[in-house]
Amino acid sequence: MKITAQQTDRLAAIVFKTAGWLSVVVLLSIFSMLLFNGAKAFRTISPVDFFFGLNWNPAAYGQPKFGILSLIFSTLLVTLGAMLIAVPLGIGTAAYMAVFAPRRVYRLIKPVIELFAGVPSVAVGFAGITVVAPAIAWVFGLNNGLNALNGAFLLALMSLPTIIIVAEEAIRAVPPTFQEASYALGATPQKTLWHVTLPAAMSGILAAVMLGMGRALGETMTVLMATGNASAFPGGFFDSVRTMTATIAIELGETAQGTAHYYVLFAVGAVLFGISLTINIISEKIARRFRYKI
Amino acid sequence: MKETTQSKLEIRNLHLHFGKKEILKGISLHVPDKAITALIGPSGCGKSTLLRSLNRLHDLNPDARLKGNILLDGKSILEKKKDVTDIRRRIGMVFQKPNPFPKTIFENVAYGLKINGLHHTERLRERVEHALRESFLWEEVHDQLDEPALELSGGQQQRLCIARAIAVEPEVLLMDEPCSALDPISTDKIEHLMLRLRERFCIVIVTHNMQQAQRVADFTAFMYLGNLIEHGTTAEIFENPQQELTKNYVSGNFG
Ligand SMILES: Nc1ncnc2c1ncn2[C@@H]1O[C@H](COP(=O)(O)OP(=O)(O)OP(=O)(O)O)[C@@H](O)[C@H]1O
Ligand SMILES: [Mg+2]
Repeated sequence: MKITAQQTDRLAAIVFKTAGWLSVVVLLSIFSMLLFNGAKAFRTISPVDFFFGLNWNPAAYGQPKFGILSLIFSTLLVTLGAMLIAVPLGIGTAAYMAVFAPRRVYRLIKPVIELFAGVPSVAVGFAGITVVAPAIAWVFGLNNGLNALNGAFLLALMSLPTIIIVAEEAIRAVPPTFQEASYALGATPQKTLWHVTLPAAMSGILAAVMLGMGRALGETMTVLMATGNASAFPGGFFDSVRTMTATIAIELGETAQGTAHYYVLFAVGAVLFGISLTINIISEKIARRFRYKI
Repeated sequence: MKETTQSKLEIRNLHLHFGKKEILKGISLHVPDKAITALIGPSGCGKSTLLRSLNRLHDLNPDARLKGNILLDGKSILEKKKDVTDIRRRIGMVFQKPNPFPKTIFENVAYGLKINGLHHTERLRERVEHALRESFLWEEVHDQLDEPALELSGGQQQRLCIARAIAVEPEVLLMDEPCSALDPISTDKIEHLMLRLRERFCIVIVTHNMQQAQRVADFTAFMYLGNLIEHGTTAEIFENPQQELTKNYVSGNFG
């Protein structure tokens, strides 16, 4: 029997539609699994203690503490710190690659960046412990460089390739006629980039930033290795932190099933999931507004 | 027909290569001030390429190589050390497809003024209004200046691009088939506009439309395969061409 082009089209449509729906189903089931198990934690722990507690100390004898705020704050500290470094650097690099880089330079750096995107997080963690942390300790005169700054730095490094690659696409997708119109009015390349190209690429650049942020937010192994994991409420970038992801990774395997501690880790997972989802929805909204307005 | 002889732009034996391919093969042409010069010729003969040499847009293309010279008011504009942004401010351009920025109507016209250092709000408003009035667009858009330019019709967008170009008060206006994407009514409006702008600018227009060339152009230059075949007043070129090629082209015998 011969398969016609029409039949393959129909088959492909079915396959992709199924895959699409399947990912929605998987996503929803993960979220409901987290919610369902997380909710069980509140049979023994008060939601107020969980959502507003500053201390996370599940092992404290007699009075375990399950306050998520220090974990959330740690995650935000490390993630936002990473974005502070990676966003300007990433967009700048992307703009350089898309607009200014001579072909020879471009052919050199593009594959390096792509290669960088594939470095396993364990390897980045290693580099963090052996190179970056001592450097930070030396520069700032600290005993120990395993802190939030170290984590932010490494996460910046890890989200940079994503940001650069996606932002470069976005900048290249700006129709060259916009740039030509700007040049034809006597604008310099820098002014053209700043006032025409980047604004026109804004929705794609936002997408790039959000993807990079998602990568940083969800990253586990690197922060687990490189931030010291002290569970005290961090006071700043020089303090050791323990992110939500690292907490789950460290504690879930060593916790007896069915205990309050076990279930509360699911609740932490649900909160993390909620944060990523919120960021994604907001960014989608912003991106759509930009697409319409500019 | 105007009797202008003062040449604003002078092209001297201009050669242009894209890589190994020679696209312009030694073009020489005098472009007079306060007049409209039309470039005509079959597709691919190099009209756009020539036009884009005049405001050095080929600088953006690393494959492009220019030889020969172009003089603006008697001074070369091709020297590398010449400030290219200043040259482009003096020589404005309107493109084939309307290409307003994805910004508001006001911001589109104000853009060229701002990047050239004008930030005074009141002065900006005046200049924007003036440019829009000159482009016969003010009546249509004065109450929607803060709306996105991309919501205008194609013809309005093209007049906005003309307003944007003339807002910075250039001396020369280059137009590459400015009406080819427009309906007859919009085309008519833009031709009217050109005839009025002719009083103040030196205009060079590329067109495939023989009637348009005859309606608006004082002078016409015919190009073929990268060569300038013939150049003269529009009447001479269309009614009494000296070259066989020109005769065939303007009578529509090839295209
Ligand atoms: N960036 C470029 N790189 C290489 N070749 C080019 C480039 N731009 C144009 N060309 C070539 O130069 C020649 C002239 O092109 P040009 O666009 O100037 O023609 P034209 O007369 O404007 O044609 P049309 O009437 O179709 O617009 C064509 O053969 C084209 O393929
Ligand atoms: Mg052309």
